[in-house]
Amino acid sequence: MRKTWDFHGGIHPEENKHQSTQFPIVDAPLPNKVILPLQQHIGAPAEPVVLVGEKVKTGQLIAKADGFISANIHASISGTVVAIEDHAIPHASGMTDECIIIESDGQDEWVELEPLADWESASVDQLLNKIASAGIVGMGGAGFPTAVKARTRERHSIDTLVINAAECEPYITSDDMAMRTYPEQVITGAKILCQLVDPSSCLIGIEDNKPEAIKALQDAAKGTHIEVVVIPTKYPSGGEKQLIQILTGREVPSGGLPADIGVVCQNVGTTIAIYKAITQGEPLISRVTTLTGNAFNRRQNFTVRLGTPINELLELGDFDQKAASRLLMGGPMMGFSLQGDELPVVKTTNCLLAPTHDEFPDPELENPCIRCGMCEQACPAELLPQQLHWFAKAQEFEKAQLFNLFDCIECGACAFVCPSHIPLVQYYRYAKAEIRREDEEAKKAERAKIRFEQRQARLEREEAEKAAKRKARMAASAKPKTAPAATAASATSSAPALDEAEQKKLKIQRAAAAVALKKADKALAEGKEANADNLAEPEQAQQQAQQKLNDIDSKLGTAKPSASSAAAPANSQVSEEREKALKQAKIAAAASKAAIKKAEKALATAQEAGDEAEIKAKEADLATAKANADKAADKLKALQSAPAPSATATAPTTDNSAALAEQQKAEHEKALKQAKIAAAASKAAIKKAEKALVTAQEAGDEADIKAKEEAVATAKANAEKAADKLKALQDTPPSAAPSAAAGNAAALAQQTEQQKAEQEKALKQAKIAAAASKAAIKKAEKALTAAQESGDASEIQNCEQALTTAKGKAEAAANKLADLQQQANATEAKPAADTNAKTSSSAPSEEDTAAKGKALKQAKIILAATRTALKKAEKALAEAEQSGDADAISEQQQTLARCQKKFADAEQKMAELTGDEQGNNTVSKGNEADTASV
Amino acid sequence: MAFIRVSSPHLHRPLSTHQVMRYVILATLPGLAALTWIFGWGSLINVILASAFGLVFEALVLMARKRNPVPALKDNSALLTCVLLGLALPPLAPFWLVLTGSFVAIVIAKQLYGGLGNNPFNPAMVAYALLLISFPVEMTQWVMPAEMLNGNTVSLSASLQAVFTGHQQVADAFTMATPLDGFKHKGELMADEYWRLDAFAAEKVWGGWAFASVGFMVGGLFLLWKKIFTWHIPVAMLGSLTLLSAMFYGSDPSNYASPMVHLFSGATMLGAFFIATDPVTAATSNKGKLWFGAGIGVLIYVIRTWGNYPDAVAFSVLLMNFAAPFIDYYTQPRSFGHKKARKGIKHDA
Repeated sequence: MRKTWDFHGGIHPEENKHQSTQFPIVDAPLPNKVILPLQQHIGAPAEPVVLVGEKVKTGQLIAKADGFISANIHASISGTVVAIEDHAIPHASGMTDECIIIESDGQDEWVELEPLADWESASVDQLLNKIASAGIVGMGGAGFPTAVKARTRERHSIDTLVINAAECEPYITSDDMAMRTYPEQVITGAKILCQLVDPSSCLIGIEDNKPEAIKALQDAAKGTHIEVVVIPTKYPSGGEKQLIQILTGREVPSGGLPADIGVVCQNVGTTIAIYKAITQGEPLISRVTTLTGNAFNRRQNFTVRLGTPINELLELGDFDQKAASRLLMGGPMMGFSLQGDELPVVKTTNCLLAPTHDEFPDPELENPCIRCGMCEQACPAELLPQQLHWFAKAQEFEKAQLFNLFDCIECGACAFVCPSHIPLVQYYRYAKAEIRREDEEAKKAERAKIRFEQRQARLEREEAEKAAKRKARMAASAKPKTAPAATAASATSSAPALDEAEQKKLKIQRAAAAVALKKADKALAEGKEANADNLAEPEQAQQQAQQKLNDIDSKLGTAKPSASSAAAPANSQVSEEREKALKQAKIAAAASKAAIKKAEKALATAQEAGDEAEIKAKEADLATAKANADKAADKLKALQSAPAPSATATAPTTDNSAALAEQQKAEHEKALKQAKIAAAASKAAIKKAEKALVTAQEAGDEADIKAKEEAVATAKANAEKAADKLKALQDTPPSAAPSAAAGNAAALAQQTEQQKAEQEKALKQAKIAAAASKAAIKKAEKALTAAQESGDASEIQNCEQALTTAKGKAEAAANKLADLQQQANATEAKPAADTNAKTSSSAPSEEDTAAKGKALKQAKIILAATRTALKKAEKALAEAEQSGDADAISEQQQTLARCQKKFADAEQKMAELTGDEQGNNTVSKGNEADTASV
Repeated sequence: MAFIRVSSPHLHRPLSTHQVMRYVILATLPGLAALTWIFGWGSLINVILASAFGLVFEALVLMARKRNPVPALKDNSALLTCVLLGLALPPLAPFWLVLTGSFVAIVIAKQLYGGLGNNPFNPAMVAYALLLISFPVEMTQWVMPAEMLNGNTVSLSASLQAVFTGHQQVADAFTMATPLDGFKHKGELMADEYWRLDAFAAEKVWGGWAFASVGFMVGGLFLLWKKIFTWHIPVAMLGSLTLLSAMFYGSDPSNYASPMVHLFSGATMLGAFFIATDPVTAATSNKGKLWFGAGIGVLIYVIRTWGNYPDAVAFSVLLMNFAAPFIDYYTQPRSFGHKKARKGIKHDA
């Protein structure tokens, strides 16, 4: 006799197993249709591989496992797929999920099965593949994919394989009867598992209330190393952790897996499924299910095809609806009540329990807790259930967590013994759900914060770009005015014929260089996409190509001024200065690139070292380096794009300007292409990151998951950036540049007009979106009240969630609308200023300044208001702290944080406005210069 | 078809609060019978009176709190409180003492704290302590055992007369100090001198108290067997009391009462099995219950020996009621799968 251990607590409810063990297991008649949910297991739902209308045979794969933790689904009858749609599934919440519905043709025509004839000499991989492809999941209740569990040996050293045959829940006898009927299958399945897991001992734990099954298993196990261990009957000895403790004396650590203490545990029904999959090649398409409870006139175990609608089983069991007090899937302790009979049998359906009112009377009224402590004596997890109940009731979730709420296995022993009839498990479920929701919200808030910061950064960048453009435009419009006479002279006096030939040559060279650069860019992008280690070579090639192109460009540039050099000596000085600046910018860009590389390297080392704080610091470094690089690149770009207007200024011949336009167009196209490549690359990066995330989630390493989630977020942000850039490029047609170059105010006006129209359109769209979101909120609110009236908790939760999403959307829409309106105001102000500048020479955009002044005033008021609010909040917080009321303190802290944020926003806006004003001043100065020169 | 939705578990042990309370009330019967046997009708009258007053007060205060009094009256909790109070009060106590006690126990100590399950202090002991402080004369006069009254207890009519008319002569004729009180005020006498002083009376009184104590112990063991409470509090309380009294008795038997006197006189057994085990006001974890019980035992000994009051169960229980929440925070059990138990409520603990 093997030594066994006891676990703390436990209860002895009436077993009520004899009712359903009077008759042997019988095959239930073929169902007329089956409803097969795509998710009957823990993990990702399976991916359908059949189409509606397709004919399928019994055992045919109809949905494929999607990801590492997932399971295949097979047709359990032959017939036609009539729908792939949402259908009610057996779940405690009464939810619906995607199901494949097959209508039977009555033939039960099977696919050809491929057993592993000689499994004893089969490799581990062969066996695992076979188990995985048969779609086997834990049949005891949780439904964890068996192949994944059987693979634990890859990461843990396992010494004990536990086969869970305790079946401690009252009423259920499906495992009992299966063991009595198919003991050899259980033992063979266990042997197969032994081959996979390679433990030093294999123990079948079975409660002593199943003497027939014990005898059958002991006979079948004779001559093997598999040991049938009889344990005392006590609920919940069939809980995985409890059974492991009973059999090995080891405790699965809190939050850990049995594999952490060298144990793998599989349900006895699973071993039978494994036996069938390996030796018969039969996928998991049926299971033994107990029909019991006195509302069934025929209480018995049946072999049922998965997906069989429950109403067919009710008919089979001669169900008396009037007598039934409820209908349960699973046992009386942990089973859940079903809302209807349109639900299918799934892989984990071990029992359908239809008790009468006498058996399960309606729950009694909840009385006050008298702290009797009976729950504590019953709790197998050694928790303090009544303390947890107080905490849950008072919504002190933090304390509940400190009292190890998440070690609760929801076995129901505490609620069973509670003399006050408090639905304790319900309280714990509520507290757990609330804590999970709060965690989720905290994560969401974190993500929102990141998004906000990124948006802020983007806005700043855009502002900087705008300022650069403004400067460039100013320079462009200033030059033709300063030297119109000179250009006129140069156009007539210079000798263009000689230069034209040279220019042509240069242009050809330039085109070739541009192609080379493109190639190099592409190679580089591909290299980055493939995540190649050695990017130095393509980078170098790309840099060389860029260099060459720049050289030619500069030659081309000098060639152009040389054509008109005689007439414009001042220009050469300007271009010299520009070149110097360009050089500096290039150096800066190169330096920043080097800095990025360095930062990346440091990050990699930090990641290897695994020091989180270090990693974060390095990531921040990298971000700053990248930001610097962006700035440098922007500056470089601005400088590079600047020679064009200056060139046009010096040589506004029709020839040249056309060529220039062409060049600009080419450049624009190049940029567009680059942006497209970048966008594609970023998309690929997202995919990759997502994939990595999925693997991380499967592996279950939380830190890893977080890191991967962040990676996805950054990838997405990058993609957004790339998409923005692409869009911006696509939006600005290259024709805009020449028109601007021509210094045509009308074209400019047209452009702004166009912009305005576009903005108006966007504004309209945003307004519509805002209205729609408001309507959505109303709808959600209505649904919520309806749900609250009906009192369905899960529905209420759903509605609440919907409402929050709707509100979030509405806020986003409102934000966008506000942004757009602001922009529209700005553009309206600008053209006005422009026209002002053009029409009246003396008034430099008075209206503009007035508008700005007004905005400034408003901003100041807002700033002052927020400042007062901030002060008030600080005062309130101090008071709350003095009073020592923790709730009040946290509330005030939140208000303070809100105020601080508002204040910061206001300050920023203020800064923007004052900055704008300065920029405007310079612009108006430019306008003054314009008018003066005219 | 649609079915009602109920969350698991769907099974329930057939034992409800009112049944728990009923078991406890039933378990007091041996003790009550013993008291009645030895000291006459007084205790029974106390119990009946207190219960009647208590139920009326419970109903009234619940109505004043705008709550349905029916379920609360049915849960037997008020009844139990008043039965315990009636047992603790001296027989032949005037009715207004019982009335005041019931009012304090039910209205103030129980319902004003939020009713069943929310009272931090044992209601019966709050009432007892208040009465003891306010009416020390009435509270320390205990009826003489039957054997001292020529084998006859005080007649029912005399008892009723004493209780309702407050006829002090009737009461005085039959009452005397409890042995603990007497021992406490023995003055300069040595212990054996005191016992010899009135050997007959001492023997009878002592025997009567021991008999009643055994009655309460029997009831307590019944509850233990029924698993209404666990062994922790009675064992810890009686254990610490025995240990302390044995230590002092062993060092100086002439000045200190023996452990037997401490265990089997006064309210020790009633306290150990019926008062300290009141779950609402006790510590809850097993380890906590040990500390709680041991604390009561120590306090009982200290107050009895060096304090101003002859008996100390009420004060000791109330003092430990104060400490129960604190004890609970520091005696959490080690949960399954955890390396060690958490102490206190801090994150890093």
